[in-house]
Amino acid sequence: MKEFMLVFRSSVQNEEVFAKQSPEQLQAELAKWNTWMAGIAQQGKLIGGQPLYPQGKVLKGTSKKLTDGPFIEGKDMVGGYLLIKATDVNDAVEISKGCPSLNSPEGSVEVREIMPVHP
Amino acid sequence: MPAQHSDSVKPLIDHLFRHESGKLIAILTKIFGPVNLELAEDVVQDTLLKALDHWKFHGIPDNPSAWLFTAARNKALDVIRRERYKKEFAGELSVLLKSEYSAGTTLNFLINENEIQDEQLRMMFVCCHPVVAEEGQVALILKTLCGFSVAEIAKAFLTNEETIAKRLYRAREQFRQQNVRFEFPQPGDLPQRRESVLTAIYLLFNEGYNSSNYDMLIREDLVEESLRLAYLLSNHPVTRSPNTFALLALLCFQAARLYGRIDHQNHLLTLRHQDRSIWNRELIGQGSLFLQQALQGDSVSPYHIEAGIAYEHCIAPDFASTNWKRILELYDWLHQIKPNPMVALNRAIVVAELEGAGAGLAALDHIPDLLALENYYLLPAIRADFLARTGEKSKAKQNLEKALTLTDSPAEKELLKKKIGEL
Repeated sequence: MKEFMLVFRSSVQNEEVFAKQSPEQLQAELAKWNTWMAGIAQQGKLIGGQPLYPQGKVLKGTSKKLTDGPFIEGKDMVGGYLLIKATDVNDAVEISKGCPSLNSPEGSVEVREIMPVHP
Repeated sequence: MPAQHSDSVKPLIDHLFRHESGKLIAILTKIFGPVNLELAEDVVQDTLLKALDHWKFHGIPDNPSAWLFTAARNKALDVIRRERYKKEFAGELSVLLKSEYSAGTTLNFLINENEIQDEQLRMMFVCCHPVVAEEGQVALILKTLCGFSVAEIAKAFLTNEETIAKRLYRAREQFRQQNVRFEFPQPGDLPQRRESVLTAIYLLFNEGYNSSNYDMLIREDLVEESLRLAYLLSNHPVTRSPNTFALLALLCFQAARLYGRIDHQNHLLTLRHQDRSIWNRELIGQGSLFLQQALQGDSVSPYHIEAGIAYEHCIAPDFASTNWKRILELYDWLHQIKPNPMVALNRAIVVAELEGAGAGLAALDHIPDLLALENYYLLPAIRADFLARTGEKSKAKQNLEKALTLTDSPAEKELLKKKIGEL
């Protein structure tokens, strides 16, 4: 079994909408996430992960130049991540297809395998 | 006015808290796992304190139970956030509880007022897990499922708080060390594990029914709680069994007569002198139905026979028309499958009713293992009764005086003194 990180991206606008939902809307949205994740957990493939606020800070380069987020104008805002186990990348992709991020045309799930580093 | 609220709040919440805390601890133990039992107890304790504080000033909400469940859910979420990098929670829920994506929804799903029976039953099996000593099992049931405080448990067992706190501590330690899970036993273990649960409920009941404890409120609560738990057990396909029904029937027959045993001045009454009109006919009727269900199986447990004996007492219109012959048969049967000096002692009383006090005295002398009853006040008290009936008043008095030295209960002492006076 390999480990993968699923990176959820969407537009800045989408992420802000997500963070500012009414309690009822948030509950309905989170119910979808819970169903998807419970399915992964039931297979013993869920490791963990968290949603992220749209705001933040960015440090860059040797000068550690600090800027405020949001950082990107386009559709590439990271909204959260999940760590899962999967037999291979195809399995991870299959699991990702259920992600509620993909209910929006701007949402994307990036599937990246954790690299075991052997020094 | 806040003061007004706090006055009206007290009696209602005592009762409410007892029941709701039992439900909440069962659910939270499912969520956190028995290894984190203390965490579950802390969340419930905090929730109840918050409720007291809030209700004192804002009045009791329309649906106090729902209020408590919501408050407990919020507290649980706080605890999970605080502990999620330090602790493992129960099974596959753990990972869902640790993510903000799923924690709230998972908790909403788990902490609701439906389907709590299942959790409470599992909790009973957790409390009666073989890693916990029997005395610890009963204390644990009272603490977690019945919402008793350590002080109340100590009162129920006529011991001090420190002893109870130690028993509870040892039990929690066992859960941690043995990694006990929140689940029904495997099918192969079920019959044996179910018997442990029944034994604990039986002990709980006897503590309330027979103990020399003079705190009537505590005793009523013990009786009520053991009935409630036995009923829960009888109501679920996994825990329902002929023995469960037999125990439930026995508890109904005994509880029906609880208030017959004292008179208006709180004096103890012997069976002969009880006012049978105040026995609870509804409970006796329910007990009879449960007894019928208990007889559906092909096994006979001591609970069956004890229920049969209690039933005979319940249906006798008065003391004289009791079917002593039938009761003696039942005692003989009981003695065969559960030989024990207490059973033999009760049997002797029946012998005396059937064959006279002289035969009763002989039966007392033939109790195997009589030494085990040496410090039990009822042995000399019963002997005194037989002696008085055969005319040996001075010997009877000696025995009553001996009995007086063996009990600390004011009610029992009073009854014994009354008997000395009547000689």
